Parts: sequence; structure tokens; C-alpha cells
Amino acid sequence: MNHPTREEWMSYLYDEISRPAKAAFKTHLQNCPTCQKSLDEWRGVVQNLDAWALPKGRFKMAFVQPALKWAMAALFALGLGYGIGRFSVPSLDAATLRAGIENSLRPSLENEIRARLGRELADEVRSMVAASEASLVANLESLSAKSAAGSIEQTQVILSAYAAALKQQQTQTTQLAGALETLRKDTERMALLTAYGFQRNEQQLVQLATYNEPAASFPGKSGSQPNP
Amino acid sequence: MSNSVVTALTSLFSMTDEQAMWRIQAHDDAEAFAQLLRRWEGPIQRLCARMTGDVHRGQDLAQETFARIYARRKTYEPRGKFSTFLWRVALNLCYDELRRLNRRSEIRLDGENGDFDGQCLELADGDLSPDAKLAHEERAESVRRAVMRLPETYRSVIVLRHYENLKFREIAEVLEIPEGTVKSRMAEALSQLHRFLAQAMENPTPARVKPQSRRLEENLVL
Repeated sequence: MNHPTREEWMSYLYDEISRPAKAAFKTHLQNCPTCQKSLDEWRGVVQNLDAWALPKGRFKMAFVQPALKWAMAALFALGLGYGIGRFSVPSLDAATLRAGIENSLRPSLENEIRARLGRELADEVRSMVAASEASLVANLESLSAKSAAGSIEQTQVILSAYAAALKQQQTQTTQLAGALETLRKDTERMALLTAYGFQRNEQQLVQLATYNEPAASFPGKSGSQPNP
Repeated sequence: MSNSVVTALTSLFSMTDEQAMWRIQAHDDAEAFAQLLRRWEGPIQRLCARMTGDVHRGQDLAQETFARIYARRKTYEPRGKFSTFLWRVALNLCYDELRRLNRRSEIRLDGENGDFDGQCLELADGDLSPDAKLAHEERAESVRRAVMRLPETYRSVIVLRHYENLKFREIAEVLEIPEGTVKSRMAEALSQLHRFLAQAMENPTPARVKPQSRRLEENLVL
């Protein structure tokens, strides 16, 4: 009789064989007590192995959970080519055409986004700083007017009001950070949509250049009609 | 095709292992590293715990594995899957640790290594009677000892195939040996385990002090 090898039994035991092979091995088992005994022993061990479970909880590792995504956003804006580069090439002509488009458009797109981001950030920062400065100055002026009266208690009241004004400026700074965050998100979205639109335009151009381009997913068509 | 733009770009935020490793290597990206950590710390901890027979040692080795990966990120050469590389680094650290313990004669031939208390199992408390629970713990302990009695080359195959569910072909890539060799090691390992477990049944090792003292308390109450 031709017995399966021990190695083959391992494949059988861990279900790494084809269905026909599995059926053949099963048949052999019915006629071969030797192999059946071996397999029973191995199966017994396999079942016992499952008894050794480990404690469930994952133990957190003491690595620093890092901060954020300015790096991500920067890479995002600069890495538009990353996504584009992953596409498969349908035909040689299309490839050269795409390469041409990419090379000419991508740098200018990157620059435009970066310039825009820089400008809008600068504007936003300037206006918010101006606004908070103005309100702080106004507060101080009204405070100094009040302090002309000058008793100790009044001075204390004035000082606490000053502290409140400082706190308000802090709040505004926080709001500024929030506004910058929103701006960054908008920029990301804009970059995404731009890349999106860029890709669609590119696809249309490619389709025009090579008449065979539209997706061959319509089996009924025997090649597409030239469509000038 | 425009769909893959979106997936390509969104995949920046949930990366494959290979993408994450590239980010770590090229940009020291801590976020990518954290992602790898979240994904792989469990399996690596389990591997190291089972190779050394000790849960706490396993945690230390797992930590060392990831530290090593990060420390050597600049010299990493992407060849094949990242996970293959990861398993290999962890296994080598386990081998080193076992060799170190061996030299200090901390390994006993009967497999009685590691801290029993650390191997406590995840059993819902209400499910089993105290006796059944004890029996389960004893069975787990004898399996643990049997696996620890295996030579390390056989133990690694058992841990990777049975506990971490890698295919034989993947194990062959990790260990850099032919797939047939992996399977013959597996068969030999299972045969040896069968012998060890049969011996353990004949000579049951007494339960450790901890469970027994519980029973004493019960008697005192009466």
C-alpha cells in the first residue's frame, strides 16, 4: 500500500490540501489502521494544545504615542504623485501621454497648493492677531480709566479683571489654533478634490488619445467606435 | 480607476505593513510605527510567551523586538513581507534568550520553567466549578511543560503553525528552510508531544501551593 508521508499528513491535519487529495487521504484512512492510529495520536495532541491559552489582555507597550498630522498633511500635499504612480498602465501610448501630463502638471499643482496654503495661513494669522490685540488694548484702556479712582480694593478688582483679559486672549489663541486646524483640513480636502478632478481630466485625455481606451468591461462590444 | 485614487490616498491613513515600514524608514514616522505596534504586539507577545514558557518574559521580548525594529529602521531592506521579517526578529530574540537561560541553567529538562502564576487562564469565573477550573489549569500547565520540553526548532514550528496559524509555506519563509522540512519538524514535534503528554498523565505533577491553600480555607470555615 502507498501511504501518504508524514509531511502529507501534516498538510491533511491542518487542512492545507486540495479537496480531491483530502478525499483520497480519507479513503486511505478507512483501509489503513497504521495511519489511522498515527493520525489519532496527532489529533489528540492538537486538541490538547488548545488547552494552553494565554491571558487575554494586550499589554500596552511603553512607546510614545505620537503627535500629529502636520507631517501627514505636508506629505499629503506633496505626495499626490504617490497615488497616481500606483495605477496600472493600459497601453504604451497612454503611458507616455500620462507621464507627460504628470510631469508638467504635478509640480505646478504642488506649488499652487503650497502657495495658497502659505498665503491663507498668513492672512488668517494676521487678522486673528490683530483682532485679539485690538480687544486686549480696549480692555486695558477701560481698566486704566477705572483705576483713576484708586483704593486698594479697587486696584485688586482691576488686577483680577486684567487676569481675565489675559485668559480671554489665551482662549482666542486656542481658537486661532482651531481655525488653523480647520484650514488645514480644508486644504487637505481641496488637495484631494483637485487630485480627483485631475485624475478624471487625465483619464478623459487618455481616452481621447487612444480610441481603445474605454474600459473593456463591456463584453458585448467588439471594440469601441472612434469618437472624434 | 478614479476609485483607486481615493483608496490610494486614504490608505495613507491605514497603511499596509510595508507602507508603514517605508514611512518609518524614510521619515521616522512615529504614527506609522504606532500602527504597526497596535497591529502586531499581540501576536508577537504570544509567540515570545510560548517560546519562553513565561508570559512576562514574553512581554519583555516583544518590547525588545519592536525596539530593535525601530532602532534598525535605516538599514532595513524590504524583501518579501514585513511580517515574515517581524516573526524572524522576534524568534531570534527568543532563541538568544533561551540560550542565555540555558547557560545560567535556568532551564529544567522536565519542562518546569516559567512562573505558573503568570500563566493564569482567561476563564469566566462563574462558568466552572472550582474543581473543573483546577483540572483545566492543570491540563494547561502540562501542555505548557510538554511544549517547553520540545527542542526549540520544533517548538517554533508548533507555535507558528498551531498557535499563530501561519501556513507551512509562510513558516518556511520565516525560518528560511524548505516547506517539507517544516512539515517533518511538525510531525516529529507532535509525536514527541504525544509521548510527553502520555508520560504526564501517568505521573501527574502535583498542583502548586496556591490552589491547595484555597481548599484549606474552605475547611477552616467549616
